Amino acid sequence: MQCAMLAPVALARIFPRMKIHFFTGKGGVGKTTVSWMFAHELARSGQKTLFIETSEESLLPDLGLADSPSTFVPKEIPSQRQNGNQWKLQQLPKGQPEQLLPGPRHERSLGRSPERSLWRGQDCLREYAHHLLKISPLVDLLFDHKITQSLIQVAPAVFELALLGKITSGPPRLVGPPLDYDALVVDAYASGHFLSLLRSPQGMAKAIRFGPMGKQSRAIHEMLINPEYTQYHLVSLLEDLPVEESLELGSTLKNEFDAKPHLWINRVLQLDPEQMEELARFPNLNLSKVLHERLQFETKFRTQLLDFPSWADVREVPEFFAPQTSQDTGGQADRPRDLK
Amino acid sequence: MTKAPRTKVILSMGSGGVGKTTLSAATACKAALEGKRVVVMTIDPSARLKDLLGLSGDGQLTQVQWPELEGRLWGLVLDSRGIFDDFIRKAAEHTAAAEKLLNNRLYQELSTSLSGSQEFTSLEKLRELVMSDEYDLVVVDTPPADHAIEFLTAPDRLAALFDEGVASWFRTPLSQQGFLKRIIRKGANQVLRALELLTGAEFIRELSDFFNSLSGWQGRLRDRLMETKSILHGENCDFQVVCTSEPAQISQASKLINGLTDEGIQTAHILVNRCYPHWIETVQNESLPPGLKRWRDDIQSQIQSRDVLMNKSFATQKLVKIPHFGFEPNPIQLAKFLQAQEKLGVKK
Repeated sequence: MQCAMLAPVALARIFPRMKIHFFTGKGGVGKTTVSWMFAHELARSGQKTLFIETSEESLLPDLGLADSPSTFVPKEIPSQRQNGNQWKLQQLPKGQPEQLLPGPRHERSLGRSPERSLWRGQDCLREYAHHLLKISPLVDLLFDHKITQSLIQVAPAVFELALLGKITSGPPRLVGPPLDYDALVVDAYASGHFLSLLRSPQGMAKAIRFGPMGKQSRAIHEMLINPEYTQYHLVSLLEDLPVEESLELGSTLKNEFDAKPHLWINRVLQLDPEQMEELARFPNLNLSKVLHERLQFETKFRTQLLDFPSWADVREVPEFFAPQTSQDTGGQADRPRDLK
Repeated sequence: MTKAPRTKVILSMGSGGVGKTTLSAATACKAALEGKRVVVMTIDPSARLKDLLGLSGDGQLTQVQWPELEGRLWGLVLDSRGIFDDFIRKAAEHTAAAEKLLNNRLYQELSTSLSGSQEFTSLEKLRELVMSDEYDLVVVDTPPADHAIEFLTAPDRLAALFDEGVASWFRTPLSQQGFLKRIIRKGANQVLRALELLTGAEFIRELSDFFNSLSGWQGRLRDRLMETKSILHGENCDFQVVCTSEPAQISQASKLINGLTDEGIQTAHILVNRCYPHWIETVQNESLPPGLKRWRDDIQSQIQSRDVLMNKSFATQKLVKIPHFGFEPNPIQLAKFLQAQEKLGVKK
């Protein structure tokens, strides 16, 4: 497991009153790992945090980040699995670079850990129906009946709305069962799918102006565009397509939702001083040429990313040669990497 | 068999971000280089295929203008909304009903997100291309889905809606129903009331308009589905799964392959993208100072352990390993790489 460490003070400064953190980005860039890491940091800083998976199935076990799949009902994360690696996170705002360094390991293990959940649209919808109708047989009739099942399955945007409804059900909306957390970290869908998720309340509100559907849709949308409640995090890589997609997504979020996303650059080449020195001393090695080329690529793509004016802030997560299989990680704690 | 179309089909499946579109284009290019007439089609909101092949992107079949391919490759970026509208116009018995549906506000706002409609439209287009019998091969870049298997079952889910008769709740006025129907209807009314409580009267009204306008197309839908299903399950259709060598991706791909097997479909081969950096051979035996050696050993042991996992997970399928090039290779470069790999496989 890789965990970045943000100093609590810095966190409080960056996210003063925030509740919902959506993580998105191109498929395969490491959304789950980065958001999971972020959820741990929020929890350690003292915020009561819930990490939410939104995929059909829990991805944490396959990624070697947890022993069992997440469930709809929140699960506590056992504390012995919390020890993270010694990560150095660099913040790269225009102007003053701020370095956020990890605290000593013993301090970290004293912190709290986040809880985790798997929220699928269909489960959120069922819970909402229960809450509103309060008559179990009627809810069962709605959801277990073959006919209604097929109706709900093809009905437009219903699952999306149910999921967003649940995510935004805390204050100030206070709809549905109580949701008592300081922060929700949502490992949301990849770029395109994420945008259609965000657009669904507006679409529904336009189609249905009156009644609970229209009213709730408008209220959900209000929360999505209010930075006091909702923050967006974009995970990217220093590669062609992810950079292109991040820039596109960044402007769409800015234009349509007036959002200033936080940018996370994942899998950045991380060389220690010894390696950097060797790289300079032996420029003719094949590996040196390869690494030089990669550093050049990274600089080029980083410049492209940072040219975009609307990031709230930018953070880098180093490339990590993790234990390779889920079996490996299930058995052993993470292998600390000596960064000197 | 005598009258069956000769067109072969390759369906590329896999989760998002693994390079499915790029590799679908490469697969199509490879066949075109080998002299076949090929169509590659995608439903890709980010229009990746459009950029890759220089397509017009207006939902029309466009010939790819690369000299090497000698005009044998066509690309198509599906306009899901357009095809769905089109289908409804064709399928609805009365033009007025079709227009009414197309003007339905719920449909207008949400038809693109209508669950299953993207999958449905790409299968519908595939059916059309295969039935035209004008091509040797159609490569389908399936929409990224949480469960890629949904691509195959989505049309069934749409059809179930009509088979189960839910539409008739909204369609048939109570007075025209028989005794038995009225009893069934009692349950339905309860359900409708519950739905109304949840969503409001306006939503229900729009929804019943929506279903009213759909009257008469379920029979045609079923016919089309039968045809499409026989294409997908026929021997002219191959499934290729695309993934990367990351452990989580390998596990996703195995689940997908198992899901396909449950549907009675054998996966022909697996393309594993970004397996190893393209330069790995040049540094394999290089003598390095300690720091750099540590870095190389880390990356090599990662490649090795991923290889072990891949061989274990995909024991029965044909594996094609593709390196991480460090840049985005164009489809022809990739096609030539795939050809070279194939020759290597034949030699062994």
